[in-house]
Parts: sequence; structure tokens; C-alpha cells
Amino acid sequence: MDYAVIAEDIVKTYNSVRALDDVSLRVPVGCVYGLLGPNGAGKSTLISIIVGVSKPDKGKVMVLGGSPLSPGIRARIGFQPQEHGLHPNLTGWENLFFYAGIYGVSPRDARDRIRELAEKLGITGYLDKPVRTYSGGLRQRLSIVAALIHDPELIVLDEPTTGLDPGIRKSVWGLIMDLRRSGKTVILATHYMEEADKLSDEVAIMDKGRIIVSGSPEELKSRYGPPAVIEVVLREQSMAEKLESYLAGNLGLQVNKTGAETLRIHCRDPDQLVPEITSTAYELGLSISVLRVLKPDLEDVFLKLTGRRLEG
Amino acid sequence: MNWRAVKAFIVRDVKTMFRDKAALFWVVAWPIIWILMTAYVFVPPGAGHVITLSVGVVNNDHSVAPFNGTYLVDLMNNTMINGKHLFNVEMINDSVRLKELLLKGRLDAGIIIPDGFGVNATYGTGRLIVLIRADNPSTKQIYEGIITGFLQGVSRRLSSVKINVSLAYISKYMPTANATMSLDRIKQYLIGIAFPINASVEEVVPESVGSRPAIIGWYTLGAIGMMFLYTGLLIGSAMIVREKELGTLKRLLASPSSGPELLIGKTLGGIIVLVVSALIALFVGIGVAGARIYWSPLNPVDWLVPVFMLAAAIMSIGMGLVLSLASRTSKGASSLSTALGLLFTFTAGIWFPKEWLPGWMRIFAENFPFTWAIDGIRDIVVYQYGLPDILPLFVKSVVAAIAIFVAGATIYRIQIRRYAEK
Ligand SMILES: Nc1ncnc2c1ncn2[C@@H]1O[C@H](COP(=O)(O)OP(=O)(O)OP(=O)(O)O)[C@@H](O)[C@H]1O
Ligand SMILES: [Mg+2]
Repeated sequence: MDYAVIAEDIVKTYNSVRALDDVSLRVPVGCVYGLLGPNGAGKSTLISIIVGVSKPDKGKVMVLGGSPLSPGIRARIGFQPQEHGLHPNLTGWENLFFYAGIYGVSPRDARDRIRELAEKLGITGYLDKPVRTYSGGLRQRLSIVAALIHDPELIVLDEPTTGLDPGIRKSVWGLIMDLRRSGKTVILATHYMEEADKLSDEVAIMDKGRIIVSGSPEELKSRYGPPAVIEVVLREQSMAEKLESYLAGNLGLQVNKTGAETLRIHCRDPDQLVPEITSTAYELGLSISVLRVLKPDLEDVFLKLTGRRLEG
Repeated sequence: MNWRAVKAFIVRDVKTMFRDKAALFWVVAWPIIWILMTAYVFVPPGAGHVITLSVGVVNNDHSVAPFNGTYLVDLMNNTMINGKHLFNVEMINDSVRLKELLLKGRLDAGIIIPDGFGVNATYGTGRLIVLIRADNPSTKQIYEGIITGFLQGVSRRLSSVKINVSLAYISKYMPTANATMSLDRIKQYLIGIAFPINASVEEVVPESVGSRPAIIGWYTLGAIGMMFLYTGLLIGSAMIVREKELGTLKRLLASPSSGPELLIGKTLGGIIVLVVSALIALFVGIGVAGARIYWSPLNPVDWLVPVFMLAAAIMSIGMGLVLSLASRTSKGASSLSTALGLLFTFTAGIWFPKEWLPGWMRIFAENFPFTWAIDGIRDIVVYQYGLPDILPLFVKSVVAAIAIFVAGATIYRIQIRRYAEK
């Protein structure tokens, strides 16, 4: 199998913080590779090493068969950093032409490419305005276009949809799926489990500077997720707390609060547990607004492995 | 080298520089204000012209003699230089009042003519009392010089008259039979007593700096030099930190143009900004303030001027790159460049002429490479040096520019490497 990225035993320390603690990964060519992890997990640090912005203290990285420090390899990588990297006093066009020049793209090619990408992300009408007048979502999308302007083989996106409205997020997802269809490799850092689940062929779940597991989302869910998940929404917060302490204390179940009144219960056999929950609620005088049985998702995998929630 | 990337840096940096109000102040507003203020405050429109002194005269002389106080006052009133009166004489009744007016600054000088002055001056030596307003040391010297110069002139004329009177007397009454000295010889002898030395004073001022337009030309170049220093230091010292703050550095460092393209592109962008601002300043200096600058495309030496300018720009940006070691934020870089710029204003001999500096400070001004480049420009466009005279300074400036830029580029590379390792 061909790999776009091979990283081995990467260690990176900032002062005393171990941002990456012996991380290894292999990203097959042509796939979308999700890096899923909470804030501070080390996603951006790993990405900055993959794109050659920073050097690891230890370990080796091979990108597209070479070193990410060599200009020839870099020209084939598209990088969207977490912090936009756009000049506020330039217009959208000017920013994009700047990066086109940096990657040696001719103005004519750049123009066509910008038109096409801007159309897909719905920002065509804003390109003449200075970036300082842009909303966060607009900046985010312009930043994605800037990363794609030279038609790179490997695209590295650091949280491309953070802070976007659901509709706009969908358009970014559409773009990522288009890229995959055209044979590109995409590395996608995110802390949205839904995003990683939907888009990735393979996911590496990161926490505290380590990759704790990796594999396809289905594989991870079936291997580490519980057989089923019951979500219960109660009418009041105090009720949720009462039910939580009962289920966890008396039945020894893994219960997580995912909202003020919402509980997420991992279980083996929902057919047996659902009646038990309803009868317990009745006895304790708690009223349930919603009760549903769900399939486990990557959030549950993360919960299972770390005991913490992914999205804070 | 990817020249498309270099061009991209230039286009972006020039655009953003001219869109940034704070930057515009330094590269455009500041030199213009500086030049105009200098032209009208420092080198007022009267500069270089004949000064008319306001002199109060107390004439107590009642002598009946061919030469007397009244005659002296008439002479003062009628002395003109280049069609301009040298003195504006005001008759004052008494010396107390005269001193009072001098102390108030209403008069520049005063002359008290004692009684008997006419008789004494005609037949012997006439005494005069001259008062000079001395609140400003440099104008004091000028006033004193003018008055003593005038009085010496008057004395010489009196001597001539006296010699002629004496000779007439001698030729009429002295026996000539046994004389060993001829009359002509005696005449020469007497003239020699009156004028032992006849120094002919000739002012040697380069044609180009003697006049107000030339002085303004000198200062216009000084303002451009200072602008180069302030802005070039800032461009160099903020080169990396500014990209970091904008969030663009990561992107650039991940790009294939993170090496020489970034440094060369941003330096060239800075040079273009400096040169455009210099041209604006020259335009204002020549067109508005009335600076006279000699530059002709037909004169080969004059083509060294753009090279000197380039060297100055490279030196200032290179020094800024060295300073970037100490600049953690662009605000810090800006404060540091301004502080140093201010220091150089006084010490580098670019704004304040070297001749004004105390000896030990002159050592710095004379060995500061940036000053060489500005001096080189002045030597050509103000003093009209020829090639052989300018060549040593030219070589020194170019070598220094290269050396400083190499030092700056080394610091720059260390900073970039440090960023990747941090
Ligand atoms: N430049 C830096 N200096 C010091 N510590 C840093 C630096 N960059 C990252 N860290 C630390 O390294 C760890 C990993 O950070 P990183 O930015 O890689 O996480 P992340 O997964 O991208 O998080 P986020 O979702 O917030 O972007 C964190 O503890 C962070 O505080
Ligand atoms: Mg991050």
C-alpha cells in the first residue's frame, strides 16, 4: 500500500509539556484520515510536523515519499492552519493571489481555480472585500481555498469547520468528499466526532499527545464501542442527576451526562435495560421526555477509552 | 529561487504598507513634515541673505571737526550690501535707555559716541563704546563681527585721509636736500602703518550650499536618511514577528517558499517602499520646500546615487534584521526602531551635521556605515563630487551594505530555525 504520510515515534515537547508522546501513524494515499481529539490533544502539533513547519524532537516523518522540509515536497502539500493566516488589509482575491504566487501558480491558473473553489464554498461574492470585514466563517472558508489553490496531492486541514454554521459545514464536507473522489489524500483534524465519523476512511483518536487507537470508524465503534447506547432526556436537571446516580451506583452502568438533562448510557442489552429505566424513573417520580436507543458513535469510543467526553 | 513567490511578497508588502496608516505616517507623512518644518523653521526664508542690524546710537559728540559723530551715523545709515542696508539706526538720548532697549531685545547692538570723538578721531584716536546683545552666543558673534568689520572699514578710510594730509604737509615743509627717504617711500611707509596686512578675504562656500535652496537640499536628504533608518529598522526587525502575529508565518513556513524567497521578497518589498517614499520626499523637498539638488541622467557619476540609496536601504533593513533578535512583538520592534532612530538622529551625522557634534561623537558618525551612504548621496547631489572623489566612499558603502545584510540574513535564518524547533 502506498502511504502519503509515514510518521514514526514522534516526540515533541514544548518547555515541559509533552505535546506529542511517541506518535506513529500511516496515512494511505487517497483516503481521508481523521485526527480526532479534544483540545490540547496534540492534533495541531502533529500536523505542523507533517507539513514541515516544526521539527520533531525525536522520530521520523516521510511525506509523499520525501522530507516535508524539501521545497519539492512542500509544493505538493496544501495546508490550512488553525489560525487562518490571512492578511486583514488585503481582499480575499489579494490574499489568494498572494498564496498562489507563493506556490508558483500562474495568475491565470489561480483565477480559474479560485473561481471554482469559491463557488463551491459560497464565498464568490465576498472576494473583493478586505478580509478584516469577514466573519469567522468566511475567513475559514477563504483559508480552505488558499490551501487548495495549487491543487495539492496531500491536503492537511486543521479544524476546517470549527465555528461554522451547520449549512456551511455541509458545504465544506462536500468539498472534502470531492477531493477524496478525485484521488487526493486529506488529513483532517477535528474535535467533532460526527465530522470524523462521516468523512474519514480512517481515524486516529488522540488524547494527551498520544494516538490511543486508530482504524476505520466502523471498526473502532464495533471494537471499542458498547453494543448499544440509550439516550434519556429528563424534564429537569435534578431529575437527570438522580437517575444518573441510581444507574451508575446501583446498576454499575457507564452513564455520561451529555447535556443538562441528557444522559447517555452504555449497555449490552437495551431490550432488558429500557423497561428497567422506565420503571425506575416511575418509582423515583422522575419524568422522561425522550428515551431512545442509538448505535454507538466515536464519542462513545472516546468515552470508553478515556472516561471523558470528547466535546467539552 | 521561485521568482513568482518573490513577486508575491513584494506586491503584498508594498500594498499592505501603503494601506497601513501607522506605516504611512513613517514613510510619507513624517519625512514631509520634517522637510517642510526644516525649510521654514530651521532654514527660514531669510537665511543666507544680508542681515540688517538694529543699532541704537547715543551721540554725545559735539566736535567741530571734518569727521565726527554725526558723520559716523551718516555712514552707518548709508552702508549697503547687495542693495540692503546693513544697519537700521535708531538715535537714543542716553546710554541708560540704550541698555534698557538691548536688554529687552529690541536692539541688536548699541554704540555710544562720547563727546570729543570727532576731534580725537580726526587728530588722534577716537574712542567708541560698542554694546552687543549677547543672549544667543551665535548671533552675538555675528553682530560683533558686523560692527567691528564696519568700524575697521571706517578706520581705514580715516587713515587714508590722515596719510594724505601728512604727506601734503611733509612735501610742503620738510627739507628734501639731505633726505635719504624719497617721498614715495615715506608714503608707502605710512600706508604700511595704517594697513600692515592687506588680507583679501574670499568666502569659499560650495556654490551649492551657500544658498537656502542648497541647505534645504542637504536637509531633504537628511530627512530621507532618517526615514530610511526609522522605517528600514522597523521593516527588518518586524519581518518575522509581524508574520507570526498575522498568523501567516505558519502558512509560509509550510510552503515551498519559506527560504530565500521569504527573505528576499520581503526585503525587496521593503526597499521599494523606502525608495517610493524617498521619491515622494524628494518631490516635496524640491517642489514645495524649494530644495536644490543636482542630478542629471546624463552625468554618469549621478547614477551612483540610486546605488547609494539602495545600499542605505539594505543597510537599514539588515540592521533591523539583527535587531529582530530582541523583538518579540511588532510593537516591541517598533519601539526599538523608533528609539534607535531617535538616537541616530542626533549622533549619526545624517540629520545634525557632523560638524555640530562634539569630537567623540563624531567618531561614531564618521564610522557609521549608513552615514557613508547618505554622505555619498550628498557628495554627489549637493557638492557635485566627481568619480575619483566619490569612489572610496562608494566602495565602502557597498561593501558595508553587503556585510550588514549578510549578518541580518544569518540572524534571520537562526530565528526561522528556532521557530521550527520551538
Ligand atoms: N507553541 C507552543 N508553546 C507551548 N505549548 C504549546 C505550543 N503549542 C502547543 N502547545 C501545547 O501542546 C499541547 C498540544 O497542543 P495542540 O495545539 O497540538 O493541540 P490540539 O489538539 O491542536 O488542540 P486544539 O483542539 O485546541 O487545537 C497542548 O498542551 C498545548 O498547550
Ligand atoms: Mg489545534
